[in-house]
Amino acid sequence: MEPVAIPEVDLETLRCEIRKEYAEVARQPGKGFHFHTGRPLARLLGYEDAWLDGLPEGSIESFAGTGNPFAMGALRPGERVVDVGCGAGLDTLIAARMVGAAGRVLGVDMTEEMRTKAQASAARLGLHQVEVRAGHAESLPVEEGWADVVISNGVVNLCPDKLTVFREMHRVLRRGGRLQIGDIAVQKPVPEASKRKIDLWTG
Amino acid sequence: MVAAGFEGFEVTWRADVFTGAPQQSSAAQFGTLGINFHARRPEVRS
Repeated sequence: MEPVAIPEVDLETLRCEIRKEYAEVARQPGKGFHFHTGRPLARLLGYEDAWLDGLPEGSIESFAGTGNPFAMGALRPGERVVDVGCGAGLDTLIAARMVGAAGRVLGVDMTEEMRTKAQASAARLGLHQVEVRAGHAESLPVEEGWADVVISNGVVNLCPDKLTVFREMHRVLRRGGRLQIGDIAVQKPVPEASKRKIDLWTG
Repeated sequence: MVAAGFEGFEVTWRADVFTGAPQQSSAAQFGTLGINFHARRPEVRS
């Protein structure tokens, strides 16, 4: 099998720019971005209104996913879930209500402003099964084999080394565990020179 | 996905999720679509 080429982009510079962009999505969700956000986006992606009912607006308005991890099957009561790149916590909160008080949902995000919103929403709802940790998709702060399900939404595409990300998701899943991801795919080849342009990663 | 150790990889949905966004995006330039996919870690050691 051909090795997966990793784009030549400075990882720390890229992460810095991504953090800046998503801190803005957290602070000023109505500003207008190159992607849709909030409740209209959730509807576009097929989120059921019932999933959003009663969730804090702070988590809904800063939602910036590209797919719907729950469209591939609901999570089961008692399951342990890792939400990779949890952002302001919309998917984390939906997952927490699906798995119930006997389950656990661990949200991981590298942007402090997003983590703050996710934690505040979980606290407001009294969802004690939610924990939010700082971390990166390439090195998740989760023990091996902990999760029944790994979800993520619009995050893998922001990581240059996708094989490392998927290996990390594999590591934290138990055997037989499920990966349910929303992300993006391109239909036309992206030139190598374009992959090195940081602004294309964030916009 | 296979190289990472997963099995049962399947893309279950794809759609244009960028058209009409408030700021111009590079997404259309590359035919970018939102997708859903799933896979699982095998029951046996992989």
